[in-house]
Amino acid sequence: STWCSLKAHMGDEFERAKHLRFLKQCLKVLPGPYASQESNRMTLAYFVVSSFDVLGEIDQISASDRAQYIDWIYAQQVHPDPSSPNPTALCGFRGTPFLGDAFNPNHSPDIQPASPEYNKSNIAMTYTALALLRILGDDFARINRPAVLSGLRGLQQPDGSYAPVAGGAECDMRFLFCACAISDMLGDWSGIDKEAATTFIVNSQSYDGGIAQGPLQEAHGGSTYCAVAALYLMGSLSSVKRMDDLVRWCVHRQVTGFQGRINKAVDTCYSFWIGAALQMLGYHSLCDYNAIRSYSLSCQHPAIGGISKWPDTFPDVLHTYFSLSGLSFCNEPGILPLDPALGITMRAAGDWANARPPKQYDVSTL
Amino acid sequence: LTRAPSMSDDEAPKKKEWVPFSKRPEWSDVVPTPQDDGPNPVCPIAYSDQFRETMDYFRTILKTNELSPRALDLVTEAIKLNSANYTAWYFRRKVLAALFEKDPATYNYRKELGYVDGMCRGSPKNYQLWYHRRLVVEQLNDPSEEIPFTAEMLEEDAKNYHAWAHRQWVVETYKLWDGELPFVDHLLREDMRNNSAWNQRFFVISKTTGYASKEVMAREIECAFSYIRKAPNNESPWAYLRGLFVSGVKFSEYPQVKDTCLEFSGKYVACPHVVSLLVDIYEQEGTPESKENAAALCVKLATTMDVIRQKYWRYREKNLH
Repeated sequence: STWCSLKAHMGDEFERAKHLRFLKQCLKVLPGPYASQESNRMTLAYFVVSSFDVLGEIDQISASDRAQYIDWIYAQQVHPDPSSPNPTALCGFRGTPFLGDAFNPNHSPDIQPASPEYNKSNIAMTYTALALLRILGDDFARINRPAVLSGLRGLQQPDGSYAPVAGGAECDMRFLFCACAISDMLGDWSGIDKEAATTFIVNSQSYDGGIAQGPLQEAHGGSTYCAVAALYLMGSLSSVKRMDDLVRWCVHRQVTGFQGRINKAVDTCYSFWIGAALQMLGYHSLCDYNAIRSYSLSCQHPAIGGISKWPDTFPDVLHTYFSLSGLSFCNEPGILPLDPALGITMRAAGDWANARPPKQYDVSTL
Repeated sequence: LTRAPSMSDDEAPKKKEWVPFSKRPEWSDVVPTPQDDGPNPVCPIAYSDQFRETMDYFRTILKTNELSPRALDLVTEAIKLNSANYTAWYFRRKVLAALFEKDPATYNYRKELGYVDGMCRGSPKNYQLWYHRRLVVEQLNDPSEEIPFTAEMLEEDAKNYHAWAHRQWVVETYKLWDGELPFVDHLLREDMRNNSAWNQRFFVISKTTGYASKEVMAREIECAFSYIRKAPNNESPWAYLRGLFVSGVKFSEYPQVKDTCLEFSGKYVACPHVVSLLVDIYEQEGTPESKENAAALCVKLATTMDVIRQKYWRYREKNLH
């Protein structure tokens, strides 16, 4: 049955029009089951909007929509709380206005937060908010940079890792990456102790060469991406103790598409996580990216568009976005070049991203 | 509309008919707070009435900071609907702290552990839930349920990253090392391709005996080979075996590694892992002849044995140390 489905929508044709239709629908409204991710809505918006951009179709979002989306994003900024002993502790961006605050994109002082104590930013929402603003062409004018960076500093742990929110949460490689991406986009590294961050990453390289969520945990494609991107942005890729092993681990994740761990199933999102890691390390050319492309295309949904983790499953915005991004490293026509470290197009990243594309291993001699 | 049923492993309370808060007499004094999403939000979600109303009431008790038994019920419902919501978990802990003081017979960490148990089984991959469990265990200072609990979760999904991370934390914090290698052995006997179990093996030995002694190294080399004999194409024991040598120990210190690989290259002729490790061994030997051997094996891998990685093997061939 899987074989018949594959034959029916052979993974050879990139179904661009169907994906655009799918994405347009998601932009208008996400179906009810996504409510379970309400608190992460900023990341969902990033997946959808960045997908338009990756397809070279950011102009499909009208100028007035873009302006209003930018307002919505700014309405999630957490501003300093003068009544708190540490006024900037919670600063950054929220994922959603779920606390019930009145819509306040311009930080009017007449509007008070609904629940100051609970009005906490989330580092992943801050990252995706900045990414979204950049994609939509905003100039960051309304960002309270010192507050965001102060909030960021407060999230770093003694071992160098980052918590996502103030007041206690799990700390792992994901949020360290977010911290680096935020700092890079704001052009200010005062929110990070780079040495501690680098130490945490170096200590998280597994015996098999891949990088885990933390020291002595299992190497994983997601944490490997986060670690490599963080080092890349900090300019300290050379700190990796066993670079050969890291490259070897990444390259060996290719089955047809990529898997995320040794002996786990392939999943389209790793075409981004592993693909981008290899891109930053300079070795994406060592993969068989026709096979990666084939696998991703076989996961396109024939009726509604979008791309899922496996063939014959319903698509979701996360896998759609990472599959499209992964195709960027496969030089798929009609897909814009991606800045692998920030997870946005080179177009959105702007001039300084163009100044730091990774040196790629020249395969013409092989 | 597109549906994405694979998205969520949260279960909305479906068994009992959900009663709207506006119809619950015990909530009649509370005025719900609607969400203000502005005039044109990006990617708005089509909330169910249940979701919208539950959150409307939740917003109000957050504003008033009500830390009561009914607030606990409400945050429990809110968590069920959006279990990744950090605010909801944080508020839950605040409510619990207040209730533990007021009525410790009814509200205590032991009872909370029971709640977390149930939630974990329903949502085994929820970061906030596992973190909450860690806090509860810390407060109880009682890890006695954690080893059987993680074992049970791993029975369901032997590679659940959260379960493994939690288990590592428990074992290390409470020094429960004794049972861990036998547990790893048990899991490997069930599924020798379980890479998480191999990783746990490395974790346990690193943190207990270490790998410095010849006895441990010899034993672990033989362990890896014993599993390789059962399934030579299983990448996990090969990665583990190679991992024994990343600290700077040389392959030449343990000649059985090269000897066994040479034996395997005759027996498991289609297995790229054997040849791949021989490349590393020859490369490390560092003589002109061994370098030639390594190069020849790289070509073999590129052309016949591991063709999907042919560009990588060509790169290795050109860049042997």
